[in-house]
Amino acid sequence: MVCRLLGDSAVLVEVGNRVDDATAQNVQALTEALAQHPFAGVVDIVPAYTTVAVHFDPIRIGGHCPSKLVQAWIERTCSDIRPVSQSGPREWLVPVVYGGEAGPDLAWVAEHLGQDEAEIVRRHCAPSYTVRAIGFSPGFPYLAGLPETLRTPRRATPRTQVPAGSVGIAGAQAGIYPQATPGGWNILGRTELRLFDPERRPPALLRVGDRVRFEPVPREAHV
Amino acid sequence: MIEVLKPGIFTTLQDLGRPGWQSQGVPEGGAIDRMALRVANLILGNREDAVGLECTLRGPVLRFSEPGWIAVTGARVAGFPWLRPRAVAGGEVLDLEEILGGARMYVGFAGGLEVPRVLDSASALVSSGWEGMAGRVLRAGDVIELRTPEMLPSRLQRSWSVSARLFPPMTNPAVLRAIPGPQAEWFSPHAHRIWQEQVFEVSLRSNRMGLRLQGTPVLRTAGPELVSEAVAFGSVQVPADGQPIVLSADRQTLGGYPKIANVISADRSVVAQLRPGGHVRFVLVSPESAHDLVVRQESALASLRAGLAAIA
Repeated sequence: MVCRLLGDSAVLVEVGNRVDDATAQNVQALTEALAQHPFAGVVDIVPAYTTVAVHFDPIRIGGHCPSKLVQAWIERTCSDIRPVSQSGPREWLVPVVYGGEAGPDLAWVAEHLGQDEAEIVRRHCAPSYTVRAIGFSPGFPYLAGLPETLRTPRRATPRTQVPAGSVGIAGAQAGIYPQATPGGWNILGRTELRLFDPERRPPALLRVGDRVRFEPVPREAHV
Repeated sequence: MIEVLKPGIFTTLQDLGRPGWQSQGVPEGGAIDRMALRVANLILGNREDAVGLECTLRGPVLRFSEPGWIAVTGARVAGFPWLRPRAVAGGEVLDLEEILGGARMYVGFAGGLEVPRVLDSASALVSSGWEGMAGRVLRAGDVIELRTPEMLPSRLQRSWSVSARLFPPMTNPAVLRAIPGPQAEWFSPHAHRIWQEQVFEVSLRSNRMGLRLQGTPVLRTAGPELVSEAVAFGSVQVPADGQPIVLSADRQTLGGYPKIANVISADRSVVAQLRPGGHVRFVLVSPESAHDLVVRQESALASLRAGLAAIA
């Protein structure tokens, strides 16, 4: 584990250097341990694929070198890491309307991969995905676990507006757009699940470590 | 009540943002020139985190239906008092269009503004898709309610102003002091020399997400792709084209480009005030001096706070 300075108000902890399940579990364990041992002046703890960032207010941390105090706290906490929640990861079933207006790129993806649309849907619904990071936009989950047989390039021209709930893929990644935003991923379908609600605490539905499966629902059911 | 007659180029409601929600993918947001907004609020006797207007390059024209007090900070506005209170009469129309010098002007309102909040902040995040003013720039015809101040400081009636020395000086080229970033060693000594010795031009494509710079490319030697990780205000990202981006208030919470450096907190106002076409260079400093500088800036603000309290 290596700590690096991310400016004078954040420290970046490199938990591992491989994007895999073991690193993801260590990222999650460190994130949970830090949250359980609060340190006054720490503003935010942001996990990602292989790192955990700790944002802090240098004035509130105080001392001659605040980042050293924060690093010392991280190291102390590391010695007290417990295995991630014994109950296992949280699991979500996400209902998706595939194709048509809800999934404007399903036909292109099918053609690009030389399959029919039903086969693309079957492949997309087959695996259990893992949330590896929340970012890009509020509540956006980066999902690992996309089958090799579903890899496609991003759209050459990003869309200026992707509707909320759009379920997309790009390269080896899968995700769900919580809000209407510009986006360059291939959109296979749409879910009515609210991935981000500013009134909810926490506002993001999913968190790093959660498991996600997709399930097709008929188009009519959502009209 | 304030009516927006002309909105300006990019005028938004801003307070000090949403610093605690980055784990949820929510950008920190808030005033880019935090010091300018805090000073506008201090002048008027508001809480330092009260919401004001952030106006970029060209400001708005506003009509006040009732009398009040405002303060203009950050960049100057032609024909308008700067860094001191200004009384506004009921029915008065304020022309704040011509912004001089810097890129961003801030308007504070005594008592603050009555506006909806999302995640404990009124700051507009235009990329969010949120409804109402938290998700967009101001438009002509918008109406904003003024809050009645609990108590107006008597100093508003007297003649005084805040020293501009509270803010880092704007030189030409402007100077951004920075400490090495998490991927500094991904760049060759040659690339570091280019990065530190050249004067960059600020691109027109700069916005609240980041300050985009143009110049001789800062190319990294071949190596692994960075796996997306958290970024911070002032992170200097270098994409494959070698043109650095200094991340600003509305940056996404994660980024996938290597970060050669990170601008220090004390130079945040410089990032905010650089105009497209302006020139800037980087100077490397130690983490210790970055800390000394932010402490010094904060204690200057504390002295201002105490000084204003003393004149009531």
